[in-house]
Amino acid sequence: MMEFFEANKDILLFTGAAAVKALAFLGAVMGFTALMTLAERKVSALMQDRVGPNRASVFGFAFNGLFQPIADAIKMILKEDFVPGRAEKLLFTLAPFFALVPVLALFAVIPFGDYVMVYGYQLELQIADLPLGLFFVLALSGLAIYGVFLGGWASKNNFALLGGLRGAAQMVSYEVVLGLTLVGLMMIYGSASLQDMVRAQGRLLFGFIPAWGVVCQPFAFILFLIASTAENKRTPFDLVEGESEIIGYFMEYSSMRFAAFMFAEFIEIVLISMLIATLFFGGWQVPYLYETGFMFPGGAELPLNHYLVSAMQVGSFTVKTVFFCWFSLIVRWTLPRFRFDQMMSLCWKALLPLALLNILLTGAAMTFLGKL
Amino acid sequence: MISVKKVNNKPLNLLEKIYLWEIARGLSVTIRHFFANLFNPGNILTVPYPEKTIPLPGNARFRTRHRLKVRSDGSPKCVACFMCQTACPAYCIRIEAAEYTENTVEKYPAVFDIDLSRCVMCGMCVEACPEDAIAMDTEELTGGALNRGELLMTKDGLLRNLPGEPSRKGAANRLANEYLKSRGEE
Amino acid sequence: MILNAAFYLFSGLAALATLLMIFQRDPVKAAMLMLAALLSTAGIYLVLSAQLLAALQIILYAGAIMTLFIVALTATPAAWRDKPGRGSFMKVLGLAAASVILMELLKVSTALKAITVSPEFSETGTLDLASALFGRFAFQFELLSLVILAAIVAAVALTAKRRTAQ
Repeated sequence: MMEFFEANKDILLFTGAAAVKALAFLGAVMGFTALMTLAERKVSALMQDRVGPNRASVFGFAFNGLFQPIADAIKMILKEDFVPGRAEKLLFTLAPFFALVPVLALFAVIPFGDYVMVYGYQLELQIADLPLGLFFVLALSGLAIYGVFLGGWASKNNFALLGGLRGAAQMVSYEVVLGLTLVGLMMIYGSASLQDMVRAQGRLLFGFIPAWGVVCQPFAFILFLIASTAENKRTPFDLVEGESEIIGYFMEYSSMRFAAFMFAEFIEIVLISMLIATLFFGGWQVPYLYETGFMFPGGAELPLNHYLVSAMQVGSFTVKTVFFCWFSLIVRWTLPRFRFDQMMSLCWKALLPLALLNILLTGAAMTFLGKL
Repeated sequence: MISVKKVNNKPLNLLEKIYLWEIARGLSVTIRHFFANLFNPGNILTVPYPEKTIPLPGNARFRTRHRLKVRSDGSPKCVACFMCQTACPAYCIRIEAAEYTENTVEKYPAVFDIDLSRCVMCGMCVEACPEDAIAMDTEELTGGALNRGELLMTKDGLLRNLPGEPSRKGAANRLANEYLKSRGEE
Repeated sequence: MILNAAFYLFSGLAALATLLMIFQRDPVKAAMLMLAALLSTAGIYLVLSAQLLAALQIILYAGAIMTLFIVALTATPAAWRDKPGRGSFMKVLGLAAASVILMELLKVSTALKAITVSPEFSETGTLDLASALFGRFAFQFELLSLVILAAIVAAVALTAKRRTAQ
């Protein structure tokens, strides 16, 4: 027995560490997503001079609505699980999984910190450092279309199908823009691995500006923000759902099946916020903070403990993620919805040429100014 | 002929066509509201309703929570004639009649329940009452409750006069008044 | 050992999904099984440590092409009929087409047996692939993009013609 452990020590340690990281990270993400469902209503309420949900209480303690997600979950579980008579039972059941699984799998490539030394073992703060992480992101976000489309088609409801078709068209179109905006980043950082890209963003431009993606590729940042909102099917691109006109692809869904779609959307907000933080805002980087501590451009230094540095990096990543989640909520409750033809022409006639132009300009800049 | 309203929207200029600046302006409004309400919740107009109410407009003639009027001797004006129970479209009134031991002219309600969770606030009971015994003028809104029992109003909760109300001695009913006169109480 | 097991698992899955797809009457379900086959093929590429190929397989085939397939399929009346009808003529035609393809496949498989993997060929690196595409095969690559451009122009021309006819 011991010999087996000794012989396979590396792979066992790696697997164990990966499992622990996956459980911890996904647990944190799930908990945060549950709070996002509350935050969406609270933020919208505050923006509209209202109070928001504040009644759900446990033993009389409401904490201004903190227990609302639990109440929602109980309500969703207790609702009738209805399947329409004409629906395709198998695909109808599979659709929520198709919506949920690709999004959850994407968290594997997000680096939430640099590394921590635990008993001499270097624990990378990323579940899987794929050399082609960005391609992985694009591939799996492409698969998320099937959840929307199958949900719409399998219900055998015309409104749901309309939502599904809109979803498929919209997500395929914006997928293209999403992919092309990332090309510029790959050119600048010379890697498709997210951890490498974050490490590259720790460098300084002109000696004092952090080389964050938003500094190097401000144009790509705006395009990515728009395309990712469309990919997430949120306002102003929520024609897929369009609750005031067609209700959308999950029209026939109830109970936890509906909750799965809803939850997938909220997880996607968290995921996209993390991606924006990782790609454009330096991920876990804190400006001027290096492995040994702060090193300010003026020459001042502030050495720090390794664990403190790691905690600050994870904290920085969390703060950035929370900010972009909040921003996504603000956008959703501010803007009206596009018309479908407006949305499509925005994608193909505006964003796509601009994304291509961005690649061209990046290439030109790299040729004339040299690499980063 | 359909009347068509021509809207002369002015064409968008370049800055408005790229949306982004206008979106930023819109976001600045909502973000301002968000932070103003986050740090200073006093501006929020929402009233936490069942615990706190705002008084109804002064001369409002709303149909509000029911009450049963009381005579000056403390007996209910209601004579348990079942008119309101019959008139009620929501079947929310339940009356059980009983007789006074000392008088054979009128009855009184031993049980008078109004289930507010079923009541539709139509005021039919008030219209139907021949004794003017039931009224919906308390100016209290039927509140939210955490369980159904709280919404069941019994006789004890219903019997009350409004402050300053001239609780006329005697009943509105001619027969009862004659009876009272014959006993020399009028 | 694990890699071998994964390879056979994915191959088996791909073969099974393809077989099921052939015997599936419902076009949308058949398309879903084809998606399963494509994803297991991506899995095979991953096992062979061709990560870029796996990612591209999912992005292009599963993400884009199959989506278009399925969207087009749902618009066909067969997807909305509860029991798809079939004619004997179509059966004969299908069998003929299948036999032709089978013959071709058998021919190709005999040729494939003779091919061996050249030892210096590695597909793990994006860089190698890129240098091959933009270096040695640059001309062919650009030629291909021209073909795609022609296809796009043709598609636009076709749709534009239909719109004026209305």
